[in-house]
Amino acid sequence: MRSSTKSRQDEYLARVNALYSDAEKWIEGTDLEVSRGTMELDEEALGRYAAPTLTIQDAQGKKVADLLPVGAQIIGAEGRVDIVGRLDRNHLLYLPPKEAGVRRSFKGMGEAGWYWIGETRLRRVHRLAQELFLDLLSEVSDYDVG
Amino acid sequence: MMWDNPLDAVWRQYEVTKDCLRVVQTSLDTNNEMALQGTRFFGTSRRESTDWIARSQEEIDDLTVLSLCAIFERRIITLVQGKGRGILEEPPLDLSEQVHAKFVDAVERWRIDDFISLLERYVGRDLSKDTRSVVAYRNWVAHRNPKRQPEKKTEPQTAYDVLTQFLDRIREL
Repeated sequence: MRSSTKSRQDEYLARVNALYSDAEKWIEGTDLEVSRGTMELDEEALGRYAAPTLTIQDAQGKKVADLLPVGAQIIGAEGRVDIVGRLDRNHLLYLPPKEAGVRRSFKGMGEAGWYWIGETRLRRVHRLAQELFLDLLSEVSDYDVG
Repeated sequence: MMWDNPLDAVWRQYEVTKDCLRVVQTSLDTNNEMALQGTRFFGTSRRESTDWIARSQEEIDDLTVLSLCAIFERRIITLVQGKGRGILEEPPLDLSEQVHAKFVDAVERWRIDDFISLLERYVGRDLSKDTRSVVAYRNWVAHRNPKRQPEKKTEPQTAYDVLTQFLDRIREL
């Protein structure tokens, strides 16, 4: 495997792990629990590789939602993780800094990090933080996050 | 003299839509993210986007066959209804008007197969058969009846060619 490919995989995996660490902090104080797993990704330029998943469960062990990695090769972004519940799926995108290339035209962009885009045609992004994450979790699962 | 084919407008729109899909695919292939901003492609993986484009292409193929058949059918209905205008000249005129109105209404409810049978002698058996095949596929697209699955897909180009030939052969009637 070429070193640039490995390095892009590693960079993406580090960003995914950072997101999961944030998610674990954000649900502290709720009655939710998390567990990690892995799945295989297969991307055209990056090949097959293992990536971590995060499952969020309620106190009875019933699944509320999964955070599933989609890949690093994403149009307009440098990575994507989906938050998937029984009702819906939302895309979380890793966006580079505002100054980088064509992406600067999105409103709401600042430093590099994970963002949510509700409606792409509005060209507005929302930086992922605890309140937004818990709202998205409720939206995809209909679970009332206390 | 050039013939004003009523199917041409649909065909032009089909070609424009196909070109639009090709431009999007090229934007994906060349990483032209600027062109894709503010579209549904933003935030998708390359595989998802390519799959969407392929499915959209299949969908517009089917919808174009549907649309071509709709225009074809309307043109034939209008032709046959026009053949009933002679009724209006028969006295008493008030009765003729009512009979003509009934005829126009009845023709509106004919099945497309009835029109094809009626006109087969002017278009030939082979073209009549090909037209039925296009119409059968159109019915599948419109109703998705699993009991009437077509033997094969009708491509828009085939539908355009067959229906154009049919209309061409009856345009002097």
